[in-house]
Amino acid sequence: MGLEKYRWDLVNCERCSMCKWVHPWSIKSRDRARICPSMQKYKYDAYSAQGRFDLARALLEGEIDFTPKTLEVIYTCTLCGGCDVTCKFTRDMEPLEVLHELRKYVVQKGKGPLPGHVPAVESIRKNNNPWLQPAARRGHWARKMKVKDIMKERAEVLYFAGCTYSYNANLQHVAQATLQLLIDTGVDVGILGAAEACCASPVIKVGMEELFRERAAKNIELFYDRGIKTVITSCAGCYGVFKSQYPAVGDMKFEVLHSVEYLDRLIREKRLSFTKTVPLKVTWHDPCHLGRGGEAQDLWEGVRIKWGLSDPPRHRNYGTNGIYDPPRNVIRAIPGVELIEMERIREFSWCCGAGGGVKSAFPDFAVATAKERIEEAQETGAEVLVTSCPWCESNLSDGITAAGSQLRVMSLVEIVRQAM
Amino acid sequence: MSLPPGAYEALENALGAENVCDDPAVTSGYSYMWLLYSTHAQSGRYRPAAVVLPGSTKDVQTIVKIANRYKFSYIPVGTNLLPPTIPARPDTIIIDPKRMDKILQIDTQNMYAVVEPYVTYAQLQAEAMKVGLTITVAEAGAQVSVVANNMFQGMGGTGHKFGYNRGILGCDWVLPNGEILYIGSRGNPHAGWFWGDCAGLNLKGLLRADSGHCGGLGMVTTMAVKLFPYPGPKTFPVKGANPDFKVDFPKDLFRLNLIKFPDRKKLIEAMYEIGHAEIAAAVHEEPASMVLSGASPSVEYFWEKWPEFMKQWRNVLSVTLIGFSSPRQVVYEQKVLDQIVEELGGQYIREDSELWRIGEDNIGEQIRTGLSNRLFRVAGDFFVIGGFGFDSIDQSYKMSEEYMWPLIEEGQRKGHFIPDDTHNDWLNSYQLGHFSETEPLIFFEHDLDAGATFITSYMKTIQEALKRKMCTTWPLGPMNYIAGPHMCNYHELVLNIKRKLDPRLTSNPDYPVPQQPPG
Repeated sequence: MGLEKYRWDLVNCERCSMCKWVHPWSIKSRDRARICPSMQKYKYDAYSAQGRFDLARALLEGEIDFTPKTLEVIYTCTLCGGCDVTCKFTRDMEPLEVLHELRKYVVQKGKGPLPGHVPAVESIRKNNNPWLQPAARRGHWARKMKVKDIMKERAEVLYFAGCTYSYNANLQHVAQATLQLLIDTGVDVGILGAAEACCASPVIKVGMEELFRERAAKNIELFYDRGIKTVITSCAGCYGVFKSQYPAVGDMKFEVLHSVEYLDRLIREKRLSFTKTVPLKVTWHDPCHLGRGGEAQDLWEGVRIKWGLSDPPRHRNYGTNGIYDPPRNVIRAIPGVELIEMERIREFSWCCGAGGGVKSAFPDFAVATAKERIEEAQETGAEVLVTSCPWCESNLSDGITAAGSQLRVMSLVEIVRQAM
Repeated sequence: MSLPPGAYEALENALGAENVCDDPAVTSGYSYMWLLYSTHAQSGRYRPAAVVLPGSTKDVQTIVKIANRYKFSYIPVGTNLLPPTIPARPDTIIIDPKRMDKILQIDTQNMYAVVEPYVTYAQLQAEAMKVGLTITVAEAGAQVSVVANNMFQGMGGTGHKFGYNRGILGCDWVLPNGEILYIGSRGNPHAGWFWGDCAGLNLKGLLRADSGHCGGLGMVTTMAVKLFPYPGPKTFPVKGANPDFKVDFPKDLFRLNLIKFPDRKKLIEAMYEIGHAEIAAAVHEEPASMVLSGASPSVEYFWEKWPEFMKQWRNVLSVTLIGFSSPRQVVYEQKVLDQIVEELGGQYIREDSELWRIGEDNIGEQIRTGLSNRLFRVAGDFFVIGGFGFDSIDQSYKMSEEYMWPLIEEGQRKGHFIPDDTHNDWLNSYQLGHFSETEPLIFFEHDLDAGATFITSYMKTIQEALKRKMCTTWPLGPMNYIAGPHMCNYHELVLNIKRKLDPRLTSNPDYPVPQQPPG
């Protein structure tokens, strides 16, 4: 069915513009009222969910052809899902699913992905990671650590580092700190080392469904074969795709947790406690794929009947059941740390700007979006912007440079380690 | 769908290449609109030839002058919610004000704000609340443009207290020839923005008349709007999470009353009495469909509850009291309201009841509209059956009863409108009950047959109103040719104004009245 499945949505959008804003009741200021980074940057309605609905309808009905601008409009979206939240407050539509389907449609027509995406995609094919790094070096980040290699011995818990934490020398310490913390708290944990392969989030984000399904199926099979009961990852991108896209590929017989969830669990179970005070004023950035994108998707197959009712009735994600409280619980449990919230949080969080293939194809747009988040964070008076996603950490750091800010970006686990 | 030779380059030179676009991928985003699809009108619509993003009044003047020089038309938009902003002819550009999004001033002493066209009500109210002020927010939703909505109708949830479209003060208006007309106190050098009227001829009426000119007479680039006192919290008090937000105003200063009356006549009597007593900030008869859709997180929820809910929610008046001066104002007004309710046999809906739970967010809706677009959730498309009765409360009721509801029932018999036997309208009191408006809501699918029934019914309501010499409001564009001959040929006067101000017909040519009657 593809994009056709969403024809009802496409023709029923009344262009109310809710997709462009935080819900009116949650708007606290003029400056932080927007929800869509793409609209903020490019201004034209075409760059909103409403405009992309119009574009999709026009493509399906043969009203327009592909132009370079068509591809730009489709791919200058971080797939952050902000539009999905405010639209769904009002309507029973699926903007985020449409945006994904639109990219698959582009790939099916042989027009996508963009040249900027190709190196990462090819690298995933060849090296199992988007960073053009050899697959054999994937486990090197943990070479000095004493940890089970799940390919050789069984462990209940797999720590899945993800590509960026594995290869990015500036961020490897996050994976190391998280793994060490799991080991120190007595978790039966192991890693896959060189056998770990990309979650394939970067390929599904640019519309390459076939490659995604192939890679996702392999991962599911590997996790199952190795008898893994729980997968813990520190990467919000991996987490989001495991939760929202993998169930459509295969039977998930294992639990998936983000490391912040696990930390929260350890604190609640009194298996993790803090001995040091960390005097910091911090604000928390909700990564899109941990928050709005961290909900399991309903694999609905059905039709719209009279009055637009769905048959069979479908469950909808409202962006509310993502991982919002666990990181906040952890921050509040650390002695000395003061959490000051930004205006746009939880389901209305402003995207860091890196997702959806934007960082590789439209780096200026990515940094402009991050810069806005940095400015918002600065307004709180916090010294540190804390998050738990390598894409967010990296792009927000670029935003700090662009803004000339004194703010620091830290991963939550770093602060946790400081307090232990 | 292309501009005359040289026109595009002229626009690019004036605005910068990044602020002009004629690519179909971009212009498609301005070519499709609710209602048009289901009323066959989409086939007569076009993608704009280009979209331009001015950054200032001067930019708008330049665009307008280029349009006159190269002889193409333009449509200025705000947040772009209404069908008249979709081009009806090929060589038309859209002036999209997304770069004109600043709140230029909030004057707390004189209680007004100066805004550009892409500032929404939610943004302005959020800033105003920080300094103890508010604005009456469009019922189309707080995500719409303050400027565009004020030019269209400017009515809002708290219109009972704050008035109907009394908000426009000084304005900078770019006329269709590119000159600027300063409205109100802006017409006097150094006088500022504080006043909507001015010495000599008052041209504010020309700016908006009954329902605005829909971009047919140029573009307002800056507008001062009236603000009002607001005694509440500095941020809008919302709680919960999507899609179940609730509002939480301090009860000693903000009190919602939901009152069931034995019949609509008693309800209307109560509306008048509340007006006579000069109490309350918001007074609305809330129709069951609106209340339930506002509380529905999904279309499935609505349809599960609807059959039973429409039996229970009848003749319900929503009255919000606000303690502008102190909590004692609320105490006093509540006592007065209690007397009125008792005398007219009304009964308060209990706060521990399911009906209250469904209706309690009315107070949030009246202060900052956030639920109204859920009306589209019910069936896909939605509108009101014809010409919004604007008159006294009695007259509004009469219009609804005599000819609007029979038309709705006809649409229901065809299966085109949703079943609804409540005879509940959205009946609003403005200006302490001196003025009223009724909107019998209809819901239909995005379907050509249902759309045909809707448009036929809509036209009939205009004719029925004219037959009875009742007020017919909102005859947009060509519909003025139906209403005009019955009302001193006002349409000819409007046509003459259009011809005088826009001799080349560059500014949304078919508005406010097309040059020729519809064929």
